[in-house]
Formats: sequence, C-alpha cells, structure tokens
Amino acid sequence: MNDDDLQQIWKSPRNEPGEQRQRQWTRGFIRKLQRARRLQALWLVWTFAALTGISLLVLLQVFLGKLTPGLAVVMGPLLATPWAFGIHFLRRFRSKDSPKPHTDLPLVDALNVALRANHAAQARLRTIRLLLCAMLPILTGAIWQLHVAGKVSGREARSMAVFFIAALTISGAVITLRILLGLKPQEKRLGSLVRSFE
Amino acid sequence: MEHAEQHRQFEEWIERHGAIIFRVVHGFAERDERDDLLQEILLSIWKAIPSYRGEAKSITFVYRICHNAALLWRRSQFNYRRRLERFQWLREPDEASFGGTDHQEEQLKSLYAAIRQLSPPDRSLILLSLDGLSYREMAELHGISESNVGAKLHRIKRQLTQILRNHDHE
Repeated sequence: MNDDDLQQIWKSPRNEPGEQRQRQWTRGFIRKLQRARRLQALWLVWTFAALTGISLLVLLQVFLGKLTPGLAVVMGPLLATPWAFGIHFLRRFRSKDSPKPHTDLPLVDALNVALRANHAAQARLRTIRLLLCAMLPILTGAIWQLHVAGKVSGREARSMAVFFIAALTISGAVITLRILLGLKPQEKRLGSLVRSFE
Repeated sequence: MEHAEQHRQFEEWIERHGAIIFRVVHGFAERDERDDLLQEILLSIWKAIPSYRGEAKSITFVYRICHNAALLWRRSQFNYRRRLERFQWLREPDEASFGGTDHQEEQLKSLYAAIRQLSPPDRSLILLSLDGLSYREMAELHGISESNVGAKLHRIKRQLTQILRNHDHE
C-alpha cells in the first residue's frame, strides 16, 4: 500500500460513522446521562433524608437523657462516617460535569498532569492510612478510659473495641488495595507513556 | 453554561467531528473494547464543552480531547462489563462497521490492525497524519517540536509499512 492508496482508503466514506450512527451516539448518550443523573439525585435525596432523620432522632434521645453517656460518645463517630460519605458523594455529583484538568492540554502535558495526580492520590491515601493507624491507640485508650470511669461495662467496651478495630482494619485494607491494584499499575503505565514521548 | 446549550454544542460537535471519534476508537481499541472507549470519549467531550472558550478551532479542541481520552483510557474488566450492559446501544456493528465486504474494506481493517500494533503515542501521531494535519498542528497537539514530529512519523510509517507487508505475506 503506497501513500496514495492509504489516503484513498482513509478518506473513503467507509472510514466514517455515517449520519445515522452519529445521531444514535448523541441520542443514546444524552438519554443515558440524564437517566444516570436522575437516579443519582434520587439516591442522594433518599440518603440525606434518612441521615437527617436518624441524626435528629439521636439528638432528641440525647436531650431527653435517654442515651447513656457512653453510647452518646459512640454515636458521634458512628453518625459522622455516613455523613462524611454522603457529603463526598454530593460533591462528586455536583462536580460530575466539570472537565478533568488535563482535557485540553497537549498530550505530553496531559500525561504529566495525570502522573502528578496519581502521585498526589497515592500520597493522600498513605496519609489517611497513617491517620487510621494513629487512631487505633487513641480509640483503644478512649474506650479504656470510658470503662475505667464506669461509663461503659466490660462487655460494651469489648464490643466497641472490636467494632472500631474491624472498621479501621477494613478501611486500611481497602486503601492498600486501591494503591496496589489501581494507582500503582496506573503510575507504571503513565510513566512508560511519558517516557515514550521523550 | 446552560444544559441546553451544552446539549446543542455536543450534538453539533458529534455531527461535525464524528469521523475523528470513529477513527480514534478504531485506531486504539479492539472490536470488543470499542464501546468502552467510545463511551469514554463521548463523556470527555461532554465534560469539556463548558471549558471551550473558542480560542482554538473546535476541530483542534475535539482532536485534543479524543486523543487525550484514548491515551489515558484503560479498560478495566469490571468497568467494561458494567458499561457494556449500561451502554448496549453503543455497540459497534463489529466487523460490518466499515460496510460492505470488498477489498477496500479488507485493507481498512488491515490498516487499523497495523495501527493498533504501534505504541499508543505513535498510534495517535499516525492517525493525525492520516487525517491530514500539518506538522505544526501535530506538534502542538502532542507538545513536541515539529522536527521531532517529522522524525517520529518517518519511523512510524516505515514500521507501519513493515507490519502491513508482513500481514500481506501471511
């Protein structure tokens, strides 16, 4: 195949999608996008309604003095975690249509930006993992103090310890897997792409 | 930007630059992966529309988005299966995508198969070159010098000819 043959094949109508398929792309994409947005919005409304209801109930119980001080202390982090996730998903939902920072950069710059973002994400996750590790002795100490002060029984203290240790260990494992299976391979691939531009 | 305006712009760009998307998808992805890459490119275009200020020509902007998305795209098995179910309507009609079954179609398939054997940055460069972009435009899109583009294209074309020759002999 010489250059002329190549150009002839390349510019042939067979190498184009055709009007009908283009219309199908657009219609299908918009339809699915709108449907996905609606479902996400519904999910968020339901989640925040449920969280607000539960939080108000807990506050009411605290004001009425129906919760033991030990349980009231535990409810704080227990409620804070789903609220934090809810806010995280809301922010993601709101920024869904904002472009990635490297969308319209030259390819080599876009790859470098993606590589830097990968490094930043790894650093962020390592910091969170470190904080989780630091939480372990602090929480153990806090539970021990509650027990010593007679605020929680031995059985309650053990349950709380098991729950928090399990939650922290699972979170740490998820972060490690995200780094090893997601970010590390991506870093390797981006690095090799950047090098191939040099 | 208003949603309606974004919608209108999206429709207009797909209509005007559909061929670019089609060629990038075929140049970067195998048959079963095309739906996934197509979806990724359409989503990148949709998201990029509000940041388009009209300083560059829309065609340059779309080239940049498509090639960026293709280079950064990596099919994950999980996402692939999930999207395949959600975006079934996007499925390319497999090998019939070029229409007909004659010699020209065979050549086009061979050409794309050869392009996919190149490294991703080389694929991008040869696709731009086949689309008729100047050295200056390719240099701007890739962020390298014009002389570098020339040297790379010379090597890529030799490599591509070799792959096609080997394919003809088989």
